[in-house]
Amino acid sequence: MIEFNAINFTYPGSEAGVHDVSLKVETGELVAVLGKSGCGKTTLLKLLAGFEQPDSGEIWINDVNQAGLSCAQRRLGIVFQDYALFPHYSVLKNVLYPLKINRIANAEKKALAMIELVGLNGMEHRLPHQLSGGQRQRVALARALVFEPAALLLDEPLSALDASLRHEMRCEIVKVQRELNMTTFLITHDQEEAMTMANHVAVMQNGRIQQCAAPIKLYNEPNSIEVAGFVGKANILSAKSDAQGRVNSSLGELQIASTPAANSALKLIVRPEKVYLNPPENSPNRFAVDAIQSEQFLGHTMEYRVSINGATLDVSSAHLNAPLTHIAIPPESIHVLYPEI
Amino acid sequence: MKPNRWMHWLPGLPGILGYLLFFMLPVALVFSEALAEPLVTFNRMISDRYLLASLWGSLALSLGAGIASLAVALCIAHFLSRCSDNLRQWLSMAIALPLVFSGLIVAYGFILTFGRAGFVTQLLGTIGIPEAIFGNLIFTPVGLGLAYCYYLIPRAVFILLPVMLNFDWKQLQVSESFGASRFQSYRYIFLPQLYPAMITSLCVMVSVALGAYGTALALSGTQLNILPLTLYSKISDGGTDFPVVGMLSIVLVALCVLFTLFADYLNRRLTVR
Amino acid sequence: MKKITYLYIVYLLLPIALLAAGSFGERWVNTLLPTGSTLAWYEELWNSTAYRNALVMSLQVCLATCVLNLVCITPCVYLLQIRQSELLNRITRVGALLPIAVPELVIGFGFILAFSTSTLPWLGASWLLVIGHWVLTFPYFFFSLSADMEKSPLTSLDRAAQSFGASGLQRFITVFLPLARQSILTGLITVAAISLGEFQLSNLIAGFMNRTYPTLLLQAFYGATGLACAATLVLLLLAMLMSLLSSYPHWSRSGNRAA
Repeated sequence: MIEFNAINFTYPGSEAGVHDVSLKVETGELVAVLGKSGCGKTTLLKLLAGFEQPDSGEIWINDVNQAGLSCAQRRLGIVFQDYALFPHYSVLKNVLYPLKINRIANAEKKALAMIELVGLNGMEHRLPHQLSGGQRQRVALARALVFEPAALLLDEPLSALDASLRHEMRCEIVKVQRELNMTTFLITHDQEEAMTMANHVAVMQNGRIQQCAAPIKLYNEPNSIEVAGFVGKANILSAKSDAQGRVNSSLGELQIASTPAANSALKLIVRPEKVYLNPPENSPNRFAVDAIQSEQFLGHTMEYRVSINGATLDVSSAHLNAPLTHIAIPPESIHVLYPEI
Repeated sequence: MKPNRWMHWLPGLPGILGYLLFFMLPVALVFSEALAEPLVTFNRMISDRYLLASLWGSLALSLGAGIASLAVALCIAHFLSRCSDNLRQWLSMAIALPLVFSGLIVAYGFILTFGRAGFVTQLLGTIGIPEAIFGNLIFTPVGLGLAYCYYLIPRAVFILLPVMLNFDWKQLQVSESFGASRFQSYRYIFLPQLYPAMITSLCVMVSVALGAYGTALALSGTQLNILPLTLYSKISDGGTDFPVVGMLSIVLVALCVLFTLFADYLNRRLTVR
Repeated sequence: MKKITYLYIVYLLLPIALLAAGSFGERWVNTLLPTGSTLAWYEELWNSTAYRNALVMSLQVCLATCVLNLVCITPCVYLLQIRQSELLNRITRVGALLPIAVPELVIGFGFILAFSTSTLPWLGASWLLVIGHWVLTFPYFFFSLSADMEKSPLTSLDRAAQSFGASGLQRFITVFLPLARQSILTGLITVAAISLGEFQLSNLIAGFMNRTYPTLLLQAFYGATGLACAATLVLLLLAMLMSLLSSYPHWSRSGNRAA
């Protein structure tokens, strides 16, 4: 288990850092921290790894306060962004390294078992530069896991791989992680990576955690416009509720699933793929399309940008059989945000 | 925690102590020797016309040799940057040789080549250039400058060459496509991008030439009136005016350090970009 | 440009060729090239105790200087590289530039002032000569090693080793040394080349009993041409050997890339 408790850290002489971060990773869980570069996610990793010490707050790993402990004392298995394989050691020696350093018995047997687990048997005696990107990634993973660390830290583990390999490695890492029931902390800027691999995703911005939730909840119920925009595509509509709880948006009057607070300004989030195209006539929230501003063919879907009553809406769908004339927004697909006061 | 922190730096201690005791202390003593009675010493120094002349002689010699070397090095680096990789490797290896030569080797080689009975002197004698004049040239400041060029040129070449290798030569074609002449293209496109490296190499060369005395000593004994030779003869004499020697050293150190640090500053800006 | 380059190469090689010719020539007085050929000058050199002692002294000083650099400077480079402190890097950079900038002559003068006193009466001792050479050479070792390490993935490898619990010494041995081996070797060759040819400081601080080869060489210039040529050529060949050795790894590396 990893726990961040109200962590604050700023780099000397700058504003950059992390502010008031609290986060919990349960044992055996995989939590992803998702954010753009410079959002503070790497700082968070450095704090957890012990390369930096927080200005205030505490980090606990398996009920041990990590204050003042160096990286070497924390026993974390870290997979670095560039893998940091030792170029002068073979695959086997790389994997043996943590065991030798920690004087763990049966080192050779354990290392070979771990190499087999990540699917590299037969490659034990190759040097890192003789391996492909995916294989290096596997060595780094094996090396990080072999000495039974308290937790696994993955720093942008897949960013150096090409798209097809990335998909394969994602599944591979999760498989191994589940098999060992390893508490895992993943740092990434790739929302697909975070959503597919993690039990919980923490979206980070400007050194703060905006929202931490399961991927589905994060997608369907983002707690801010920023999170909504970061995780997938989103239409953001301004709206007002009147005294009777009716909602007037820039598209026109909308029905929504819940009853909003009376007389307040709202933001409505509508995912493009949840909008019905050419719906039956009695559908709720049905609008006529005034004009199609643009359409884009993406192979598996078609994306349209349409204007409705002067407002612009992005919608998408698999291929339509008829020209796009109407759309409908199901009330339960509208997520309501109350602007912060 | 605290003692632990200190332990981390322990392996670096011998180096730091050695630096302080065997570099900082001696240099500091030279300074303190000069600065015990600064005004008196200073007056004694500037009242000695010979000393002042040697300072100007040194500066003129170093700058002259530096600028001449720079001009030659520009040509060589330009050629090296355009020739094949293989040829460049061989030529670079030859040009790197003088970097590790002792100044003495250069001096004696020069006596054999350009001295009073030297190879080139005699060759020129056969086509009518009087041997007595040419043969004495290397024992004058101009000749010393030529000898300095021998090992200054490689330094400049190896500072200029990487910059030229990284230069995008298409820029010149682009410039010429706008109707610029070849000279204009070089003048407005090529040279400005080379200025920092040129100044860096000039500073390095001047600093090296200013402080060196080995070649000069081997070529001419202590007859030439340049600052390091004057200093050397005063130091090796013993019993001379150490405060003045100290103050001259300060002048020499100040000039050399100034040029070196400036070169380093430029060089780092060069590599950052 | 081509002409100037080749002209410089001639300018560069002609004195070397003449030194070589002179060392094998029997007589060389007012002729274009020496007359007769002989090995007598080398024999004389070999039989002269003064030259032999000086050469041995030079080699010993050179070796000791290399060892001193290895022991004192390598850990400093490692510590600075993994600390990554901008301020410390700037201080050490200037600190290491100073011995290059300050003329050998002034350093020598400082040595005379500092170590000929009754509290520190060390002038003329061989070990002081070694330390003098160390002061002159360590910046080159320091800069060449640091530059290579900056380009290497040392910091991330060091962090990886740290995350597996390796101590500072363990990381130095298992990560830094294997990574730096080649650079250390090249750096030491540079150090050796400078130390072997060093004249300006040694001339001031060496005692009569521990004169290095170059300081003795200066006296040869006033004697017979052939002997002077032979003596100079020995030093020249040593220097060329070092120069070739230090560019050798560079070739083989670029050769690999081409292949």
